[in-house]
Amino acid sequence: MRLLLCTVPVVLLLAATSMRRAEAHAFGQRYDLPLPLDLYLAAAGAAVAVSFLIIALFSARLGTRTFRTRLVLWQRPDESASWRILGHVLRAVGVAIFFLIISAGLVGAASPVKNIAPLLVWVLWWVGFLLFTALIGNLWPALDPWASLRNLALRGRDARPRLAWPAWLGGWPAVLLFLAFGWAELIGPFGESPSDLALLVLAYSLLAWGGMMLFGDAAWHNNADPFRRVFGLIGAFSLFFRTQREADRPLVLRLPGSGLLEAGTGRISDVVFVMAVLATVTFDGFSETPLWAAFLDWIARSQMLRPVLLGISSFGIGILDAIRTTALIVAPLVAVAIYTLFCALTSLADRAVTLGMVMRAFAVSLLPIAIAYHLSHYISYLLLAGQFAIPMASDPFGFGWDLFGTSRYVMDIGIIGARQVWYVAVAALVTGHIISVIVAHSIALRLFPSARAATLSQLPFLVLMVGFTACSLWILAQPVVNEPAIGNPPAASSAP
Amino acid sequence: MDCLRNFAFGALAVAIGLLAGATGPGFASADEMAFHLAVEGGEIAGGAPTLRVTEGDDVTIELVSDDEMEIHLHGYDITVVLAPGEAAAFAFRADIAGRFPAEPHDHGGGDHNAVFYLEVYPK
Repeated sequence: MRLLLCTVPVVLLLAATSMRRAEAHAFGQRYDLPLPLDLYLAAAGAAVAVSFLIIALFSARLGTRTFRTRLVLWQRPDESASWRILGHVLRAVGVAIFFLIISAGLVGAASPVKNIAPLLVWVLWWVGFLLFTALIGNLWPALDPWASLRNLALRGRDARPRLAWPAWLGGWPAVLLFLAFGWAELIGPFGESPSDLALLVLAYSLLAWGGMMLFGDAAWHNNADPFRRVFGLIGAFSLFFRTQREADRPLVLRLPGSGLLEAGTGRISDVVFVMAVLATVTFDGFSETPLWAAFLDWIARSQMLRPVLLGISSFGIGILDAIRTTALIVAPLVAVAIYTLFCALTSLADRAVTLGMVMRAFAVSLLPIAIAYHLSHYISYLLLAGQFAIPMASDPFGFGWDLFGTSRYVMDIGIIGARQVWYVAVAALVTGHIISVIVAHSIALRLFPSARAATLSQLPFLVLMVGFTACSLWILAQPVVNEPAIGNPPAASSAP
Repeated sequence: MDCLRNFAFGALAVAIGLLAGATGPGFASADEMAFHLAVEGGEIAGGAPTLRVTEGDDVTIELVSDDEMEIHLHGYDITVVLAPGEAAAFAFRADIAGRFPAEPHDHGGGDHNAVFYLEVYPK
């Protein structure tokens, strides 16, 4: 256990000491135009309107039943040879990509636009594969290279855990590791430096294998592995799903979001995990807004904070990174505080329902809005930066190879029009909002003893969801700005 | 519940009205757009301005700097070299919509603050 608790700060420290000016997503600038005011207002208005429509029309249990409609595509996939072959193929692909990332990172070119490792991790996997998981289905358990390599190494041998997972630890390691990963993505140098990225992947690999060896695979996956957790949650939203509720685990096609009714957040640490996901996704966009830039500027000019800032920079830590790190820790706490407040109001609807019950029940209902925001925020970035995959496939290490004859591919920055991006963003957020309201409503009907209490309980949640959607829209309506330079304390001749 | 339902339909009507009224930003379409910017100490007084044009415009952005520098317009991928006190210009047709930062070209590391932003709105 000590191993686990020590490794996170050590990795963070190692990274912090090699800190450079690190811009998240170093390669591939974002060229998004801010959402125009009228579209922004129309979407916000539609979100408010549909919220009340659903409250008014959906209170019958019939609605929930319709929402749960599903089509069984495959009753017993595990008995089929083709399903098993698909599993082997996915495991091979996962392991091959894992080795490609590490070898490219360690021996390939130092520039992130020439080395395939950052592209694979930050664009194709963390943005692209995450969206695939949200919309289509969760293939991560099959692709997961850490699990595959461990099973390969163990083949046939006894792998009983040496220790039982300490109950007091709950799912908190997954929360910490997820935040550490969020830090690596948004603040750390791993977007710019392929070799740092490869070292980070190796460090995490040792941690994951150590954890699985000590506590067993299942305990590690359920309590500490942030990727199993996040893909599991996001994948519960998707169209294709293997339900856990029946012995055969049939593959079903469902309405998007309805699987969230099965996705449990049984512990408070699971609830906090969801809040950490929501907060990180939102902070990513918020940190590009003029409001955030103005806040940083204010800090840089503040006489009161000056000694603190100078103190921080004397340790060799970038001030900007210190502020962003603080914000990344504060953001989930703010999310938890807001969520707790609204859950407290919700629990007033019926005396038999406690705050803890409400908090555990409703956390997943906010995920559809977050997924919609993630899609809106990243659609054009994914289509632009994703094009790097074409030349890099021919020259993954930046050695000047031309394996497939595509190494001279020139990016088409007009691949998706600004107007299309706006329409996708507005349509996604309004749809995500509708699904969130329906999910919350279905959960309320299950949790509260009477339909009346269930409907009443949803009023605070509607306010929370409209607020979250409006906040996401607001971020999309902000122009993307680069952060002001506050690495060095500002000179006396400040602009008026 | 009836009252709630009426309110809901009212709100929906408002939303539909708003959606119908959404017609994109009201920028007059102009064929030629010219800007003149003065750069002092690597930046423009008052902060990086946002230059707004419409897709298809012929854009000229003339710059005069008090110092030697290179400015790179991302996306359109154009670099302009500035000699102290001498005007130089970006001249191009804005055929791709988006928001593009123009940044000083790297001279041995350091932070990149945008000199200006170009916003090209779709027609």
